[in-house]
Amino acid sequence: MTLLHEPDYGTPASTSPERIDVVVDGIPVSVPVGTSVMRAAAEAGVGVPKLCATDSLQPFGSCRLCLVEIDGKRGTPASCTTPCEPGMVVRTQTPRVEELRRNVMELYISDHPLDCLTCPANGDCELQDMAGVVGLREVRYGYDGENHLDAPTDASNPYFAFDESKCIVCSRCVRACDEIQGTLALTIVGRGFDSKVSPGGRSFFDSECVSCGACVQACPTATLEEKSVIDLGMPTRTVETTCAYCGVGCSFKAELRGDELVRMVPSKNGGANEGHSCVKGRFAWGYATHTDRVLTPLVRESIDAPWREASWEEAIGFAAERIRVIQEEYGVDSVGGITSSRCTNEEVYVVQKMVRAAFGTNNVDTCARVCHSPTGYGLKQTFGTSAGTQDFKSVQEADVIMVIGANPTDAHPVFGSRMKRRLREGARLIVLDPRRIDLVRSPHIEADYHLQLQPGTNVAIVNALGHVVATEGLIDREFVADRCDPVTFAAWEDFIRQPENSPEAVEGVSGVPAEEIRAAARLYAAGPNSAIYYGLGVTEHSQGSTMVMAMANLAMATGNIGRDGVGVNPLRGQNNVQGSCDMGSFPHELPGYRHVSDDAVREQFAALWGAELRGEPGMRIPNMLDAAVVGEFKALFVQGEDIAQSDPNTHHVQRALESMDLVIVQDLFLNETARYAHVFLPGTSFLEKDGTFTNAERRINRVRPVMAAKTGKQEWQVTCDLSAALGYPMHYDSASQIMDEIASLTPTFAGVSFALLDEVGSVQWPCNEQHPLGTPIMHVEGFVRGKGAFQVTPFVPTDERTTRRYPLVLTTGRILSQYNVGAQTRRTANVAWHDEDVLDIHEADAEARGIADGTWVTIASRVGSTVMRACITDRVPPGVVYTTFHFPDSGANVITTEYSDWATNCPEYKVTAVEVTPTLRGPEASVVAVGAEPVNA
Amino acid sequence: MAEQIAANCSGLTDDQAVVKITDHLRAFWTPAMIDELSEFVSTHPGDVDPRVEQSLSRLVA
Repeated sequence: MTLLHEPDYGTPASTSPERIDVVVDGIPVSVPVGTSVMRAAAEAGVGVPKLCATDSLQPFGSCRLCLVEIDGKRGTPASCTTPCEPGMVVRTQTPRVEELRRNVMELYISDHPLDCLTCPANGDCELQDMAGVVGLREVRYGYDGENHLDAPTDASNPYFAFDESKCIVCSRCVRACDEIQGTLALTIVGRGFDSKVSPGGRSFFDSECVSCGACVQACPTATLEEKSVIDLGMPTRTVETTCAYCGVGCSFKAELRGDELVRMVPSKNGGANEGHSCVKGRFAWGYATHTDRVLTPLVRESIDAPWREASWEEAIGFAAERIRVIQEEYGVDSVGGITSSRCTNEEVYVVQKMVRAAFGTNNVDTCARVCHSPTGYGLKQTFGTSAGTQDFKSVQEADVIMVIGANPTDAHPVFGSRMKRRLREGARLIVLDPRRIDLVRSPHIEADYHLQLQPGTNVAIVNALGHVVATEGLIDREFVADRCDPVTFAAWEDFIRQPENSPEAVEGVSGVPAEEIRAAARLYAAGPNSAIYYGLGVTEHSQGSTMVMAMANLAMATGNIGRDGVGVNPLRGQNNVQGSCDMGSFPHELPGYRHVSDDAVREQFAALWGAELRGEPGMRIPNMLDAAVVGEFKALFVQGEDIAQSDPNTHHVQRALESMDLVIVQDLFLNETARYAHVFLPGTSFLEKDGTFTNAERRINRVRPVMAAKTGKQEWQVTCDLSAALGYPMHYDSASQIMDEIASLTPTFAGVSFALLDEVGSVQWPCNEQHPLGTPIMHVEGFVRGKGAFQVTPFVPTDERTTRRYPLVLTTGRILSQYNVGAQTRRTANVAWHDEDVLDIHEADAEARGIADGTWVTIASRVGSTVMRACITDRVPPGVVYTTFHFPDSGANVITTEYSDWATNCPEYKVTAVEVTPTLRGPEASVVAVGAEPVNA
Repeated sequence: MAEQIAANCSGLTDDQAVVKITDHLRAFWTPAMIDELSEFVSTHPGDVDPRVEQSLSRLVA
């Protein structure tokens, strides 16, 4: 249930283009074929009483409250399960159905606690509402008979309680888990009067439940209720905003009592999530008000001195003065900044503007450097724009889904649920992953092909898929001739047909049987709608950019671009990776992906900004760090990123940070990077921000302030203050004005404004005169660059090789309950599920090393070592080990090397040669850096 | 890094590779990084992929 009710039509909308006319209670209404009588009535403005029906779930027909009479039909059919027929005349209020409804409600209430006034759902309970609607006045059966009133409450889940005594067994929770989330964790056990909802005979916490909240959302009573509502009471107001976790960008209704956030409820109007959520967005928002937050600026002369609190003026003045001194001594380019994919477009925009205009350098980069920079490069080279091609809804039209190096059910769970729904409907599935992720085999889902490749061989496999397409006559010649550049296509075809790209040739290096590769290629090419979804398992390799282009080649060769159900789709890691890239965070590009060397573009920015702008690229993050180590880079502004934990080869990052004379950290918490900072500028949580995020489908969503900034300032104001102290004032009164400036300078954002977003909810860029309401699907009529450009994609193996000393390959990823470096989720009850990083190791590798499940092991690479507990599992194949990187204690990035993507420097997190040995040590002695120097300076 | 870029141009003719490497360095490398590479090439003749050397010649010209 949600406090502020969104319209509920009872059953899902029909998508049929054909319409029929019916009459409900004398009101004529035209509805699509397939519409239920209940929905037709709702569309006519007639509410039919209901309990088991809701428009997010398929009709079930169990509660018998929605009975109606239909002329010419016998009996009193349930309106939720009865489809409209042409000319149907429906009566929803007759003495007969009214009596039946009262009788049904009487039975419900006879076995329901009569504690409405003290019930946490008082005023937000459909059972209570319906009892009123049907006019229940007495319960003739009394309350002394057999009942469920003493049934226990399961409070094992950290975020919600299951009070069985209030359950009416309508199955909405079970169906939500099945249909929306796709976990199938809930069921009805028992028969007749003994029927009850059960999470598989266990407690909720010990069950398969993933705490997405769909069951709580669906429950019409207080049976499944947020503990925050139980503790705090019913909220009284709602603010619609956007989640700040992954790149799905779910819309939420923040529900508050006064200024206290009570719960986050997924919004049905959210274009990305359409009413669904995951455990992080739905429940793990407590970090925003955690006592660890620093709300006052801090400064110190050196990193070994204690912090002291300072006023905003003092902290800003301290930072500005030191930047000035450093630039005078070491030059303009001795300073730089890093923008954050957790911050709003407006916050990011002003940081890159400050660096370019106030610092006077293009040394600005973004944390997307270490995740999806190859996506930007590869898709721009092939399609002409640095973004995914589809909206999330598109997956509903896919016939074949290829998931490469992504784990949507853990890392992008709300989209993962959409994908699973389509797979349950019969779409075919190909998974390319060294690990057996959940999608490979889970309830009602099984991959047709799991190409369990050796880490680092993505390009070899996708080239082999292309080889099969080219040599078995599977190229969509019409699409290629019509849409693609013939010269680059000819070069690609010549390259891809070469024998070294055949499945048989790559079988040895990849470990994937040739026949499986051939079969997967045939399936993908057959489509007819085949879609690629990929994640950091594609990009975080030394061939990340090559791999993105190889996938784009494959999609173009088979004609899988430019319509629903197809495309090449990056699943972005953080909430605003797309936006931070769009906003000109890369050192070579101004907002809108326009190169700094483009004189016309640069002059346009220079004129509006009133500043001279440099025409040559600045340094990337690894360049800045390398330059710092040799004493040439001296000051860094870090917006909302913890590079000391998230970037590879931690030891090298630490040395670089130690070498600087000024590190400014703008963040919620004193993170690992802040250990090396001289100025700490407290940031705002997403609940305080005013601005926009752009998700992985290019959807620009409003982020509205749910509460006042706890620091007293919006982050963009702090950036403007620093810029002004450096002699370059930026004059904005609001975040809306910043977006207006972005729109005036960026053709793909030309039509975007807060007013438009408030009016229509969200838009996907490009949003301009040609596409005033945005562009859900890209490259429909033609590619952004004109003709699609095939790229030759040779497989160049990484230099990171296993040896006798380091015989295993470590790869990394993230888990459902935690998020990236854990700064947010570690400060929530999500630690109940995952409170440390562990090392997944295959039984054969564990046995050969004398490692038992749950014992401590040392993981050593050529750059460092750390200690974790071992988890013996067959999810990883022999020779491959896997861990997450959510906890600083485990120091996963102490091990990862500085090898990186050839085109973008995106680190090769996914391939590190390691050895694993048993150890008696605990985490207190865990992190040891060998001290290797950068290998690709 | 330049060697790595050149290695990823292995599917191209030498002329095509030189164009691609040149474009890449111009688009993504700072002038200081190009200067540093040029200095390395001049002090270590023959140690760098010849396609990189040709690209540098074009950039410096």
